[in-house]
Amino acid sequence: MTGFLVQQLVNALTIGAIYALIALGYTMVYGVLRLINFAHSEMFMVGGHVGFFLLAAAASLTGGPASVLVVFAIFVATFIAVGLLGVGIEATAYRPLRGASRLAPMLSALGVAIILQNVVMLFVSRRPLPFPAFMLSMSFDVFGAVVTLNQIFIVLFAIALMVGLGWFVNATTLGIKIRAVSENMRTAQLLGINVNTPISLIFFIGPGLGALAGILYAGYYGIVVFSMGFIVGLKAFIAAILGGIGSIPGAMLGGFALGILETFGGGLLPRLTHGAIGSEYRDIFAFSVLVLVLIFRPAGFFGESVTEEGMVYKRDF
Amino acid sequence: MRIALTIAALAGITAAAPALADIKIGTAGPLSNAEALFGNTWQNGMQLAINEANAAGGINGQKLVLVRQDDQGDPKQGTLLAQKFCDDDSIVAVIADFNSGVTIPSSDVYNRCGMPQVTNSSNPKVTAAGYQNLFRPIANDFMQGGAPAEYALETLHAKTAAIVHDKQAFGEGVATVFRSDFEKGGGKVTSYSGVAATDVDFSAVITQIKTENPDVVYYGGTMPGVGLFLKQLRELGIKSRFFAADPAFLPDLITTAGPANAAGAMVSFQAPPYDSNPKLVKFRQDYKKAFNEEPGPYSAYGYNEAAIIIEAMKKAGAKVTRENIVKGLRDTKFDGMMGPVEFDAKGELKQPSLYLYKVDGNGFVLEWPKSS
Repeated sequence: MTGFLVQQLVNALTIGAIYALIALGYTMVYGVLRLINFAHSEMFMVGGHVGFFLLAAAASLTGGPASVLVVFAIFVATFIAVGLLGVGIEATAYRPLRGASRLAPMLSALGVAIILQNVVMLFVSRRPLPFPAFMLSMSFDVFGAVVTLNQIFIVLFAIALMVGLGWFVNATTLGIKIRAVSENMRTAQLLGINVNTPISLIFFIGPGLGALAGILYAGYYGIVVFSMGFIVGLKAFIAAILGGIGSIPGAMLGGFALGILETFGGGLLPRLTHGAIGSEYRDIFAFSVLVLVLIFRPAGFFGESVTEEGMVYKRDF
Repeated sequence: MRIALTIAALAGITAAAPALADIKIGTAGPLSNAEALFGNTWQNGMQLAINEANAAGGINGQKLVLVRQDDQGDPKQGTLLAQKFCDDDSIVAVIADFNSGVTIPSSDVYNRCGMPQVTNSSNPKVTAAGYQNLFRPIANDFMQGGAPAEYALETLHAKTAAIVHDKQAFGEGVATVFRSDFEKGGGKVTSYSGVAATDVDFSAVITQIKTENPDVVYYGGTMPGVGLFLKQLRELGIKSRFFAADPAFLPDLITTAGPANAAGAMVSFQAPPYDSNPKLVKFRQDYKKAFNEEPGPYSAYGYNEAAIIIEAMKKAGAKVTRENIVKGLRDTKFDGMMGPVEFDAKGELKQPSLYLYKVDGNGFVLEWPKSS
């Protein structure tokens, strides 16, 4: 039994780390623009594909599996490429609608998501592509569970990225500007901050992190396909809401929390119901969490609870 | 005078046209999804048979044309294409579909318009409706689920099995057959679980299977699921013998799971290796000459299916119509590349054949029956 539980915990933390990285993108954009960026799930998918092609190019140049340095360079290149894509999308699809109603940018985001999915499906491949493993396949026996080097890498790398983002947002000038624009865009403008810079930066970092999550996911499962963004993106969005949308620590915690809820729920269901309900109902857990959170605590863990005093300070004039 | 001449000329042309019209055979299969290799090479096999028939003079001097369509393995597309083929009067027979989940609904459409339908799908439900225009010249899943069970029980002396299926018509069908045959033979099924066909993460199911420690694990489903499942099964340290059904008979299985993880996996398939009899050896040479590549897993079946229809057309006589072809197909007595082709009252093949292959290195080796 210990082995079973430890194994589920390891699986949960791995998928939770990936959800957390994607959730950061949703939460940062919402915090600043009050916009749910539906196109973010496709950044995740595009990142996986960009990583696929870069790894294939590296393999054809060196004739063998990529070295650590090359893999690191591919990570950086993918981050930058998809980050620039995110900035481009913001400039063309969201910025012109900044003064319009709350609904318009959201619908625009949905349109961008559909375009990206179909572009990849039509121009890259409709079939799933096998993603090469960039990690040595080593595994360790921990209390009866099998933990692979890949899983350890994903969790540690994701945590390192989140710590890095936390430092950036809290300790640098650009980070202060991001937080200021996130609190109140109008006041920040009155204080002389050019809001376009922090916003573009958010649309660079968020999609970049989503792209790295895409590579981690593709490397872990060994597959990349045009439709992989939809469900994973939706669950990461739920993780962002669970943690409190608009809060960066919230997205991190929400990601891991959702991973644990989903994996333990899906793993224990067959045992508890003696096989009547199988683990394929795992997705139901994720979506039930969404419904419960919205009903009982819409602000999530760390989100801003809407109170009278809070409304006075945060109201957009 | 001039008007009379033009009318006579036009009458002459239109009178001559029907005699030289092409005879069209429609085909629908998965050409662009994960099973694209199956679908494209399957239809290439048909094309080879049609090229040979045309070179020999066609049917009563009329040329045969293969109309290829992509159903994407999707029943919605399959039924749409079925209606399209039905509405096109120049199409007198179809070889459709490839996936059981697509054939079952599309067969209703083909039956309504009386289209002779030869299918490659293996699920037993395909012939359950008893359509007189539907023929299946390939082993069905009663055999495909039964043979691995028999092999596991008798050759491997397995006592326990864990079964996973992808809740689709084909995957669940073949897993059900394996389960009942394994239990009938005295084995014990430790768990029977379903996963979603689009899942990439099977860790929950596999972690559960790990606690059961079965001798054999059977996965009923298609690529990429079966490849990913096998990969994760081995990565979690489960060493049970692995069995999968014919959609896994692809090099993609070995590349997705990794050669180390795929080694020893058993896959059931309906065709013997291409070097196992002289007819297949010649077929492979002809295919390579025509398409510049190795024949795919189902190319020989595609060739067979087209050849069966061509034989039926020859028996139809001067007028090649849908009804005549159905009649001709009923009376098929044909010595195909993989054995005799004759249909029973339900359109099933009277003498089906099934083979078990083992993954060895980067390819498949025939494991059972040893002498085909």
